[in-house]
Amino acid sequence: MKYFFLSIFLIFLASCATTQTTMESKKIKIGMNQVDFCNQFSEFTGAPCSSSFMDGYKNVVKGVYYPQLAMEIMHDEDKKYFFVFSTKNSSGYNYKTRKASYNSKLLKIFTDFEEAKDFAGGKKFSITSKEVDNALEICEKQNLKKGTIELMECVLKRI
Amino acid sequence: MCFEKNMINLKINILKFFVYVVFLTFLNTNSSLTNEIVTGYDEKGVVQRNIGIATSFTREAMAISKNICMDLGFVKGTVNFDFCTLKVMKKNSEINNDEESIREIKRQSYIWGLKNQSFKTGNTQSNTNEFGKVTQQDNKYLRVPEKVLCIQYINNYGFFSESKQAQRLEAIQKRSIDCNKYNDEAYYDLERRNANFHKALQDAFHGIMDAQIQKHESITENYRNANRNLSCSSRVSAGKIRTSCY
Repeated sequence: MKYFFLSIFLIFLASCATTQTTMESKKIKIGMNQVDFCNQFSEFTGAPCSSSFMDGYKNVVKGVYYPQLAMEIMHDEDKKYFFVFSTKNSSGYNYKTRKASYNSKLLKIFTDFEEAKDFAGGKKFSITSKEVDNALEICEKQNLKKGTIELMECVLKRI
Repeated sequence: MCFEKNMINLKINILKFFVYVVFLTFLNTNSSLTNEIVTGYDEKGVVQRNIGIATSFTREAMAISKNICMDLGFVKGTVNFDFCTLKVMKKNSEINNDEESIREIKRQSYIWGLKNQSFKTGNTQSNTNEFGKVTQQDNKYLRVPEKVLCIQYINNYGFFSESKQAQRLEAIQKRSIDCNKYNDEAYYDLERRNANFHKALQDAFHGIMDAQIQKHESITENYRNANRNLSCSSRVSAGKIRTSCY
């Protein structure tokens, strides 16, 4: 009976743990791998690496995986924190088997989902400032004035 | 006896607690994610993961594009500055070979263009005098539903569009309609029409191809028949010889 109450108490304590408390403990560090990251969170429902009974019932999974860019967003149940991982040589976290990868590294932490998506799912900006400067120099030599559509079109053609 | 009763009560309370926790979990479960994310299912229909689609159309890309436009001498807040930003973003998407983003930027450009044309009745000038024949009596657009009229006007649909546009504009002004709110729908309507047109074109092409194939097949069949050894039989009927081949 003693063990029964003890286990209930422990479950109760575990359910008190949140992502917030884990974040405040400063155990989550940029550059850490996914396995270590998941180990920092106790098995409470709502942790980034766990999926609840209702997730299975409702047929949903947390997180977003970007196969084109090998990036992954993991988040807690409350969507307060968004952890972006680089998942090179791995196919991201498996929520069914709870298998994390040593190859996935934590890149950045966001508190806004849109910003996290921009970071994880945004393709690299391909136009460099050097390209723009070179094109601008050539176009200005053609007597095209700054702030005109003609100059803009000339620059964009040369990029 | 009393101890056993207390135990039963305690177990019931624990059960209630778990039911409550499950109920709370149900309430806290988040709804669907945004539309850039596709949910992947396995063959049994069980969700596997949410797949995000990488895009060049991001806020970061927009910020960089704005900086480039400022370098090109455009002043923030002007029409040309916005135009330049969209152009730079489109160029970047083209370099990245990102079809989805190009489509989105085209949509944004279309809406941006419309915003700057402004379809508010106060800002538009009637072309009625130019096309003098337009009168209230024969202007059928006065009875056309507001949304349909605006979409037709924004997208400039139809043959003889100039005279039709004048009639539409007159109707819009008379009915004091603000067509700006239909910019988005107008874009999608145009996209839909274009898609339908391409499909029709494709169908027509396939139709022509099918007809050609059928023609060739029938020619081949005729050729085969022509070269086939016919089996004929002749018989005398009413003093005449009748031959039938098959």
